[in-house]
Amino acid sequence: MESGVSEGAKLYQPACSLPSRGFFFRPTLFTEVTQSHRIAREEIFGPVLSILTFRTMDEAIEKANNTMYGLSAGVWTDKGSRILRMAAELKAGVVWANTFNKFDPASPFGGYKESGFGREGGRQGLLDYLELS
Amino acid sequence: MTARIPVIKTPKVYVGGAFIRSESGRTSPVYDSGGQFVANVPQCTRKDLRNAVEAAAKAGPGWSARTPYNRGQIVYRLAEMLEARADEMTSVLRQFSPAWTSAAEREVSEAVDRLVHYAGWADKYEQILGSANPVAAPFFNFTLTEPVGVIGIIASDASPLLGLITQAAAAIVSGNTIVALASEATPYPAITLGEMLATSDLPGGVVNILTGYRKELIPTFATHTHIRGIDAVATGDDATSLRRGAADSVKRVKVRQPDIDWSAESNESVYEIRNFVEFKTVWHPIGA
Repeated sequence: MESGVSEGAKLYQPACSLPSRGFFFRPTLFTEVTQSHRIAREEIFGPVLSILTFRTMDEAIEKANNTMYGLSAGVWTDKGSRILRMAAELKAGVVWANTFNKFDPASPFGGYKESGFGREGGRQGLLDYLELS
Repeated sequence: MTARIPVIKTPKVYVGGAFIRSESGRTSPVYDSGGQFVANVPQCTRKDLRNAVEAAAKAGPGWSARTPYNRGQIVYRLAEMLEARADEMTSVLRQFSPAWTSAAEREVSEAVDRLVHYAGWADKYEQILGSANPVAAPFFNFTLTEPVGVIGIIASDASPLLGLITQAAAAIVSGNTIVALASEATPYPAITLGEMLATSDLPGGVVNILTGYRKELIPTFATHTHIRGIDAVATGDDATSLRRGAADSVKRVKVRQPDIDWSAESNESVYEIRNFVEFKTVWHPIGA
């Protein structure tokens, strides 16, 4: 959070009351985020969203892939060919297109790059438990 | 007639489609099985390794964007190149080990066959490894494979050609690019292989072959963050160093025992390709 502010991103938090006991954090948006910002490349495990803008698909793909992580990605568009291209080029283990945060035991889940080894769920998840030749 | 001055080849390593010396200028001598000096091969450094990784990373997007069918054609062409120069490769193998006298021909023909095998998988493995997934909700859900990226290969001493070819073919057929460390004991066949690759249709940088000392280079193979997978013939400290170094950047490590039988049928399998692919799952709602 502090690095987001000190690196020049714009912070927005709505005025809302939080319980005085326990660990709570206000919903937080960062705008004017650039790729070099730490909050763009690392995930804050809390209700914090870093917003980067784009004008072209190439730009969106480049920005989305500029991280050592790759667990999931989401894309919203009403054009089928765009969905398929984004799905092909986003470096993530799961791509949710026109939906988000869907899980199913029959659907493999797991990440690219530094987001982990292997998959859980689906045939690909089962294969990790088998030695086949 | 005056006596000819002998023309002795300076072996070089094959990196980024070019033949280069080590940046350090270091070499180490190799001797044939009779103890006769043959040549000085480059003794590559960690800097050479980093340069090779850069070449492999640069070649990756173009190689993986080719159609699977085209990658199959190119790997098949490698088999053609090796078959056409089988005699040369056989004599190189024979030169360096008495044990190879009878086995060299078989090592080369099996290497050719292995390339043909993996060339055939190029446009078929996706149909075995990928899937359409029956999720319990109105979504179209499918899983595809993609290459992992740059793969580091530590080659076998016992099988300096067939072992290396098996590791390389299974990795590149899915669109990965590789940096291989040739057998330390018998580096010359890998140098000859580099010369054959240069005359094939394989784009420069897809296969990069270094020669040098395992002890010097293995730690950098393990920790280099742009190397995304490692396929190594290694034991003991080397294997530990690879696994430990790889953990930090979450890279996959496949460690093989030195006594592996590279002729065995188990080396020809779609599951060898699976070692270095990522699975990507896509969800889309079905309905209005």
